[in-house]
Formats: sequence, structure tokens, C-alpha cells
Amino acid sequence: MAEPIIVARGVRFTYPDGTGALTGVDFTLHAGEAVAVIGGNGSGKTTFVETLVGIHIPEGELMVAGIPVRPERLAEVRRRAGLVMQDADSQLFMGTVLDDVTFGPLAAGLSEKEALARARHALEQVGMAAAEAKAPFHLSAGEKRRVAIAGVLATEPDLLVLDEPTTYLDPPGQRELAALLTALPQAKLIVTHDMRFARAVCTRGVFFSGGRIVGDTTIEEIVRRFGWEM
Amino acid sequence: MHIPDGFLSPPVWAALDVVSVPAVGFMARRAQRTAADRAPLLGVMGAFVFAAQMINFPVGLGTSGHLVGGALLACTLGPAAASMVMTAILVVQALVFQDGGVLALGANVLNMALIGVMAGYLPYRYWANTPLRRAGVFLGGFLSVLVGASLAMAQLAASGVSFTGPVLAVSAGLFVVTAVLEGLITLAVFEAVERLNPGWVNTPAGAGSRATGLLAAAAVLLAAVGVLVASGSPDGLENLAEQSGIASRAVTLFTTPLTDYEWKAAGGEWLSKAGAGLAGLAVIYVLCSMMGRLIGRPRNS
Amino acid sequence: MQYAVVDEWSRGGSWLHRRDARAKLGVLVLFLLAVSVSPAQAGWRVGAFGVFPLTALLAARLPVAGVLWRAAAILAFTVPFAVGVWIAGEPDRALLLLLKSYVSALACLVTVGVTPWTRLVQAFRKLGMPPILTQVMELLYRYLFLLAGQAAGARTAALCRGFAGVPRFQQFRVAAGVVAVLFGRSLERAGRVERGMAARGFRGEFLYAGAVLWVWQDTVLVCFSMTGVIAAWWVLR
Ligand SMILES: Nc1ncnc2c1ncn2[C@@H]1O[C@H](COP(=O)(O)OP(=O)(O)O)[C@@H](O)[C@H]1O
Ligand SMILES: [Mg+2]
Repeated sequence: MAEPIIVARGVRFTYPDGTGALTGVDFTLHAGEAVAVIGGNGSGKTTFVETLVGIHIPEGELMVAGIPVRPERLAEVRRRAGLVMQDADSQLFMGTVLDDVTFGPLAAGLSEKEALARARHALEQVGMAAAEAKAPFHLSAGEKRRVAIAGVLATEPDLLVLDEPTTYLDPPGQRELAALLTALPQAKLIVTHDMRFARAVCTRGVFFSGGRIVGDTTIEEIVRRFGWEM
Repeated sequence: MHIPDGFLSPPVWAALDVVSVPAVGFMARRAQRTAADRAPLLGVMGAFVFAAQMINFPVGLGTSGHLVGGALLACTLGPAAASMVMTAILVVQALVFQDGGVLALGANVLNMALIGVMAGYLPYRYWANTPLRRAGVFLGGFLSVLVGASLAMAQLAASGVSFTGPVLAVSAGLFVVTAVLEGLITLAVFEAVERLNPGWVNTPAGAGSRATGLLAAAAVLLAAVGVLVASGSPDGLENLAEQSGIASRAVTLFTTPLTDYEWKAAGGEWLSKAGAGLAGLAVIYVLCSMMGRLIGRPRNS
Repeated sequence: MQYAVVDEWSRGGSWLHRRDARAKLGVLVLFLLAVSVSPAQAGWRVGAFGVFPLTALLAARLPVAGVLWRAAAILAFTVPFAVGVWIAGEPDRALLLLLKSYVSALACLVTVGVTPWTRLVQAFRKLGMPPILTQVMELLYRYLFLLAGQAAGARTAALCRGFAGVPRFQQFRVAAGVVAVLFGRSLERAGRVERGMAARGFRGEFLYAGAVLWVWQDTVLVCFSMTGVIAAWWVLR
């Protein structure tokens, strides 16, 4: 079997204010796999996925696409892994939608022409092509989310990490996103509270509690074991 | 106080633009050194100042004031960063909100983002680690507004806008009230911020010498009052300008084809006022560079 | 929010909108210069300079009444001043101040109304403004709307929870608390923006595709406006 996309062993992280957000995460994600990250509010899901692009540098062993997440390797890590953050407003920083989606490919060193082509294609994929000249702050929450997703798709990473991507999306938008993600060949790690979405896209789920993974099995089994449905 | 275009005479705004461009460049270099890669921080904090100005502070009589922000930013982010943020705010205000003119940007930046921020920072710089800390924050807010407004008045006076005694008295009174209010708001917000998280305020390293602090604050205050008084009686400044020969040099400096006409049309009176303005400018420039050096001095860390 | 509508205008597609921001800035500065050095004797005729921004306004198909009204915001500051000057016995000067400031503000508003903020900032960068300043300006503009929304929210929340009933001297402290919380939230937001930008490969520079290049139309714009403005100045002199 090929090298796993994510290898985490005993990953720990404490915020500067002393909050121990990750207390020893063990996790492996293989190429092409789609895994749902499930767990209660404040259980460490966001912190964990943010470590995967080096927003936080954790203790323990963490490898993404074979590259250790260390300050000196961050540029490489970020070329391989793309994160759609929980809060789209922190992610969209350019003046227009098109400029924002084009930024990623340009930062990865692509030519302007290629970058534009990729950005337009990604906007097409999330149904936001018509809004390319708009300012991010003129968009609705769901539209911002779509643009943030396009921004990551345009960089074509080996690993797609999405933090609660369906929040603010209307039901057709959720359905389309599920179809889009299923069609993409990359490995995916998706934080979600939406079990229908998880079932549609992922084959496996991990359950976070107290900054650790306490369950790693099928979505059905997680729903059953942790009573994770309304 | 934002000076719009059309209020300052060409020599005055031109000279102020010429002075503030290198001054901003100097502060930008400092900011880049101390706050390297922090453009996101400074940008978001600039947006914060705009947003904070929407929060009203009731002061009775049905009126309310709001935060101006220069001193608060200086005490939290440090003076160079605060200067950058305030400069960016002034550019946005001038271009997007028609708050202050474009040609007058040099004047406004100098008054509020450079000298105003410095004046807002100095008392805090020297008193932060002494029992006078709170007084320093208040005085900073007070000075940042008073100095900025007095300079603006002086620049207007130098441009030939005449102030009669009562008008001057009323504006001076208004400035002092606004300045006291800014001092109070800055102090109240500063303390609330420090309560939320002591790490958010910038405490200068090393104990500032109280004597130097007092001296610096007094100098700034004197400069402000002096400029205000001088603008009321331009004769004093004119004499100064004449004696130091600045006025005559200013003429040769500014006799360009474009401005030539206005020089002749407006006659000698106008000329001497511009000379007074230039003299004031020279004083301001020296003050600015002195303060820049004072604050740019490496700290014992 | 006030600036949102200006931002909306700036995203139009007219010939003027498509011009290089440097050309528009250059014309603006020249125009302001001409207005500024027009002599006092011109009196109310200085208002004739208004023809230029008005023409641009029409050519760019911006809402005329809206722009004229918005530019009038400047009067809030200039009218009291002009009244003071009038009382001081210089009515001509008072009128001149009003006209010059209004015409200048109008020109500035029209320029911003036909140029997306991003392009303006890029132009500043190309014209030599320090990069830290242009980046701060870009991000300031970007997050203005968001934080203003939060401030409005905080104000509403305070009012809903009985702010008006609080004694005066307490209101001051409450307001300070609101601003302090806004400060904290802004810092936190700044941290997240910073991390988000880093995660997306930001290394201290905004990258754009399809940068606007200077084309002959830009030269035409500059030449025509320059001739017009200088001619107007000559006539009024
Ligand atoms: N910037 C921060 N500073 C301090 N504590 C934080 C910060 N961000 C999150 N936390 C804390 O870390 C824990 C995990 O948060 P997070 O990973 O966001 O949870 P989740 O995404 O699972 O809801 C929570 O207790 C939260 O309060
Ligand atoms: Mg989360």
C-alpha cells in the first residue's frame, strides 16, 4: 500500500492560554479515503485540522503527505494540503472573488493564465462563476463558504480538509457539495455535524472527545455508539 | 480634525506633503522592522478603529463623542504600527468617505498619524511603569487630539483663513473639550482592554525616566499651545520668519509658474502669511524628527 | 454601511472604469491642483471646474444624484467654517472655500467610484507607496464591513439589554467595555486572518492575475483631461 496522506501519533497541542485542545491524537488517512471528523463542540476538531496545514505546530508526530509539520517545512505542507476554514471570513482576504480564488494557484507558482483557468474552473464547480467580480463582503454566508471551497479546490491539493463545510449552505448546495466531493479523487478529511452529509461522502468516521480520537469506525457505528443523531 | 481640499493654500499643503512623505516612509520602515509580516494585524486593527467610531460615548446634554484612536493604538500596538494604521485610515477616509482632502493628506497625516500619534504615545512611554500610568494614557489621548487640532488651525491660519478672536476662542474651547473626551475614552477603553487581557497592551521595556517624560510632554504641550497662540497673532511668527530669512527663501522656493499668479494677486500680506506657515512648518519638522529620533532610540532590552 | 455603495459603483464596466488606476489618480491630482491654485478673483466661477467630475460621472453612468449628494457630506465640515469666515468679513473667501472643497470632494468621489479599491491600492504600490502601507490599506478596506457589522451588532445588543436605562456615568463605562470587547475580537480576528492567509501561502505580498496594463486609452485619458483642466484654469485665471 502507498504511503498514507496523514500519519498522526500522539499529537498534542496546548493554546498559549493553557487550554489543552489536543491531548494525544492517533490517526491515519490513506490516499483516496474520505473520513468524517465528528465530535462535540470544543472537542478539538478544528484545532486538529488546523494543525494539518501548520496553523498550529503540534507536539508528537504529524506527517502530511510524508512531510513532517514543522516550521521549516510549512511551505511544502501547504502545497499538498488545502484547508477550508470553519470561518470563511478569515479565509477570504482579497478584494474580489476571482482575485481571491486565483491567489492560491499564484502563490503556488503557477502562471497567471493557468491560475486564472484553474480559478474559473473551481468557481464553476461550486456554482459561483457569476460572482467573480464581487467583493467577498457582499456575499451571503453560504456564498462565502462556496468561494472559500473554490479557493482550496483551485490549488488542487493532495489532501482536502474541510471544517464544517455545510454550515450556511442551502439543501441543494449541500447536495451539490456532496456530489462534487464524491467525484474528486483526493483524500478528504471533513469535520461535520451533519450525519446525512457524512454518510453521503465518507466511508469512515473518527469521533473526537476531550482532544483525542475515541472512536474510529464506520459512520453508522459512530452514530449508534455515541447517540450522534437528533 | 480633517482638513478638506480647498482650505490650505498651495505652498502650505505642498510643503506639508513634502514633509510627510519621507516621515511616513521612515515610520513604514520602522513598522516593517518591528511589526514585520503583521500587515493582517494592522489592517484589521484599522478596520477596528472605524468600527469603534460607531460606538457612542454619551457625555450629557444630548451629545456624545467617539474614539479617535491614535493614542489607544499607540499604547497597544506601539507607535510605529499605530502611525501606519492611522495613515491608512486617513487615506481611506479621504478617498472613500470625503473626510479630509487628498492634497491636504500630507497635513492630515502629519497632524494626526505622525505627530498626533507621537504625542499620544510619549506620556505613556515614560509613565507606563510608574504610578502615573493612568495619567499617561489619559494625557496621551488628550494630547493626540489637541496637538492634531492645533496644528490644523495653525496650518489654516498660515493659509490665510482668518480667525477673529471669538471664533478662535470657541474653536480652542471645542478642541480642549474634544481632547479631554478623547483622553477619557482612551483611558476607559485602555483599562477595559487590559482587564480583558493584560497581554494586549504594549508596555514599553525599561522604566522611563519621569523627568524626561515630563519634559517631553511639556514640550509637546507647549508646542501645541504655542502654535495655537501664534496662529491667533501671526505677527509673532511673521517676525520670526523674517528674522530667520525663511520668508525670502520661501519665495524663491515657490515661485513656480503655476503659483506665480496667486502670489502677485494676493499681494504681500498673503506672502508673509505663507512665510509664517513655513516657519511653523520648520518648527514642526524639527519637532517631528526630534521625536522620531527620541522614539527610534534603541531601548535597553 | 456607507462605503458599500461606493464599492458597488466602483465595480461597473464603463470605459472610465477600465482605465489604469494610475491614469485616474494622476488626473485627479492635476485637477485638485488646478482647483487649489485657481485665484481668489475667480470667485464663484471656480464652480465651473465641477464640469469635469460631472462629465466623468455621466460618462461612467454613476447615479448622478447619489454621487452629488454623497459629496455634499463635505459641507458638514466646510459650512460652519465658511460661516465663520463670512462673519469675519470675507464673504468671497467663504464662498470660494465652499466651492473649492465641494468640487474637490466630488472629483475624489468620482475617481473612487470608477476604480475598484484593489486597483487603487495596486496603483499606489506601483507609484512607490511602502508595501506595508498598501497592504494595511487593502486589508483595512476588506475588513471594514465585517467589523462595522460587529460594532453595529454590539450596539444593538447593548441597547436591547437596557443600555438607555443605565445611569449616564455608567453608560460611559459600558461603552468602553463594548469597544474593548470589539478590540479583543478584532485582535482575535486578525490572528485568524493572519493564520488563514499563511495557510493559503501568503508570504507578505498580494498576488494578482491579469494586472491592468497601461494602454493607449489611458494616455488618451490623461492627455485630454490635462488639456481640459489646464485650459479651464487658464480661462478662469
Ligand atoms: N485561540 C484559542 N485560544 C485558546 N483556546 C482555544 C482557542 N481556540 C480554541 N480553543 C479551545 O480549544 C478547545 C478546542 O477547540 P476547537 O478545536 O475549536 O473545537 P471544535 O472545533 O471541536 O468545536 C476548546 O476548548 C476551545 O475553547
Ligand atoms: Mg470547530
